[in-house]
Amino acid sequence: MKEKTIKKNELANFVAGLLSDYQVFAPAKEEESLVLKEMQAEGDIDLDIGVGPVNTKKSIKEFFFPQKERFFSYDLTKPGEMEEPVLSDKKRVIFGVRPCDVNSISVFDAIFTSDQYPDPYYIKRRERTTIVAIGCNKPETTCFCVDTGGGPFSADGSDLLLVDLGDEYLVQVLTEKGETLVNGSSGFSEPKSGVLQKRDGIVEEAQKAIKSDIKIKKVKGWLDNNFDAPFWDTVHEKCIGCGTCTYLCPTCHCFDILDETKGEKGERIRIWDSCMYPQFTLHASGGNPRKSGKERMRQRVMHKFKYFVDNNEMVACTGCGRCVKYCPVNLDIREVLKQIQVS
Amino acid sequence: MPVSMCVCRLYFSKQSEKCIRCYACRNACPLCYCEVCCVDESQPQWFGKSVALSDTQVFHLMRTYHTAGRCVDCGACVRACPMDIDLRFMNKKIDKDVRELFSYEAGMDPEAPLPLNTFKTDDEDEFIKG
Repeated sequence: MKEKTIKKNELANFVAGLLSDYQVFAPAKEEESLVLKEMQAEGDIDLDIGVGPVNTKKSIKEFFFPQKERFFSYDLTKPGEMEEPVLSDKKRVIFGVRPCDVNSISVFDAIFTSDQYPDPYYIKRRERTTIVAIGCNKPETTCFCVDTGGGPFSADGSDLLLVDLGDEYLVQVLTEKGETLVNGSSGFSEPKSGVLQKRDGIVEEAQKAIKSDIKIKKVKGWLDNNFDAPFWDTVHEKCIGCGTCTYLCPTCHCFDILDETKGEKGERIRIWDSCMYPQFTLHASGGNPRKSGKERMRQRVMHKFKYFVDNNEMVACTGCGRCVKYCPVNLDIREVLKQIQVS
Repeated sequence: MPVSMCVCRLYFSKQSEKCIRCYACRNACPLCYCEVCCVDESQPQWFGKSVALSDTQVFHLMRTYHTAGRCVDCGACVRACPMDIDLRFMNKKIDKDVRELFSYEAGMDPEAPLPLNTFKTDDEDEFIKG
């Protein structure tokens, strides 16, 4: 792995240089929250992402798996004809993505690039994207990435990882895509002596700042044997059954496919779906195997921390903490997991 | 269209664009008591389920009208919304209309009939004769 440094005041130049070949997205403040916004012209997004909220409200997943995807449109008066959208080939860089979000790409890859069910929409978007991640010097109180196999400087899934060293960034070049970006710019230099030690200190401090103590293997062991435990009877009680946790989650990937029609015309679309909704498993007969909040909450925990591990050898949670932070009733998944591990 | 109405429409569009259809507002709302919400009906499917602006706007308009004359502005929807949508905006407008048209303020008198749930056959307004 190559390592370079770039002065903070050179960063805007580097990103502006990308605009001729790439669409560039970067975190921008909108009202009180961060959103990933397309940079239209040099300097229209302030790249000093060290201030304000650490992470964007919505995760990176919508860049690969949009909440609404149109598969094709049809007109019943023209049988056999359909119009499919042409997906863009334009290369793009998503800048300033946090490690929890880049780590979520491994979860998506396991599902959407599998040999069994490769998803052409996902694959095409993934191929045209280069990700520049930035580590988290100051994790938030809701962060628990260290418990789920990641960390505030975990690079898995990114092409470049930036580490904020104060007046400059240390840049870890992780893939060929990342190398192409670095080679196209003159702002990078070799790290001076002491820089790597400084980085190690920052990483260690950030990891220590994440105060959580979830033993993910222990949780899995309990889940393996406790589908019918009384624990599930009460843990869901304060959940109001909204989809906030699933829609803001960087790893939740369940969807529904439906036709929207108007007269003779219609389109087939894919939209996000949520296991927290009663309709998620509603059968055409009217029967519902997950008829109450108990079954639905159990499914969400089981899918993330047992079924996904059984099938893909990783948990479907990156510890980003969005579900903790935005849950309207403060149902904290960390507390649920801690209760499980002492059961 | 008056300028103020254009501004309101733009503002409402901007707010609706943020919606992710998580239904936290509806589920936290003390007035939403329907066993199956009309946006969740599938046979027939009354509402589009996507986050296209027309779909999110219709969802919020439907909720505003369904709670008209009943909403006491408790703010549960605003507190529940993860996307910081100004959900009180439309309700406050309806609240004002109900006060002006019916001299009624929701939540002040538990015995008073709800203005949008009652009618008089001898109402002197034209609309009732439709």
